[in-house]
Amino acid sequence: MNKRWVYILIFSLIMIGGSIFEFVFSNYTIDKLTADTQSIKTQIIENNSITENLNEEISNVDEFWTNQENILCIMFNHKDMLELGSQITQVKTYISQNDLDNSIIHLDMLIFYINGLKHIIELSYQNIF
Amino acid sequence: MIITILRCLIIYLIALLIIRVMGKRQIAQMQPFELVITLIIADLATVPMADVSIPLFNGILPLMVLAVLHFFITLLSCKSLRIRCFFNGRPIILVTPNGIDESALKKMNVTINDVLEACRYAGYVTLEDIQYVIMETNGNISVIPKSSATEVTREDLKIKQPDPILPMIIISDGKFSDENLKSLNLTRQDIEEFLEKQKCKSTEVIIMTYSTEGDIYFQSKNESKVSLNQLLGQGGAR
Repeated sequence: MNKRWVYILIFSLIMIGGSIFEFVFSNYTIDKLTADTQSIKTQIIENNSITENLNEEISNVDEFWTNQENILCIMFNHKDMLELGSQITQVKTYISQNDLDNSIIHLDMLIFYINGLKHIIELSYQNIF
Repeated sequence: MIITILRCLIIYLIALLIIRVMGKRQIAQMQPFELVITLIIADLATVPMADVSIPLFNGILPLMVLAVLHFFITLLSCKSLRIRCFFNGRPIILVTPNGIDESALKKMNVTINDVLEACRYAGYVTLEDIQYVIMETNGNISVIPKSSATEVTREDLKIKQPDPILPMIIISDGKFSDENLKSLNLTRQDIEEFLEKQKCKSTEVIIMTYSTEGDIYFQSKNESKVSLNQLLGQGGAR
């Protein structure tokens, strides 16, 4: 097999493999973030208070996002992901201060930014055109 | 700053690799689809260089896509005449022995001045000397003169001359080309022996070429060039 074929094969494998990895990884990240954030919000609304375990849950969300962001940065524009990290930090602060109203507001904003990021990174005709 | 430097280096190397994979045609005479790819590559490569927030992969991946696309378009063009015509177009004859084909000029958006310019570049000042003028698929205009206007060749004068043999580089900048030595059935020792007679070392040689006819050309540092005819190796001396 001549050298050019080898390079083309390598490039093709990188493209296909990279595309599949990106699709699976980004979907997993968005879905988990959405689920965890919704869960925290539901707990706050149902209990009408901030319970102790929520501090740990939001810390887990923060840690999860930090780890995922390190890999997502290889594939997507860093600027698109900045706001999400900032919102998570704000939610974490408000929850640690037992600020119920601001926690709910910023959780809603966090969900909004997660959906925004999803629209930017998902495979859709809007993103193609 | 270090980040920008590293990104530039990486993108440059990858872009260079991509151009090499695409082949020498890409650098020389480009077909329309190759011109498009070349223009796009230049732009794509600079995007992640300039903005550090854009992942490097966002610049490299499109280059890979273009390399693969170019490869398959070239491959299909080789296999199928219809596909070749679709991507490259066809050469169009602008001037025939009967004269200028006006419809062809209009079709190609070429003026008669462009045709005359191409003729002058080819060294012909009058259309009377021209048999054909052809617009090639890469945009070049080829000029084919009439026999009466072409230069005299050795064949016309019935002068016989053997066809040239391509000399091969044996030493370049003091280093042997073992591949060429092998194809000429020579060894380093043969060359060293020859150079010893010329009172020179192989490391001092800037260039040495040899052909199977025994034509030797070499030049060592701070010396003039030497041309002689001598068979080396098992061929012996004439």
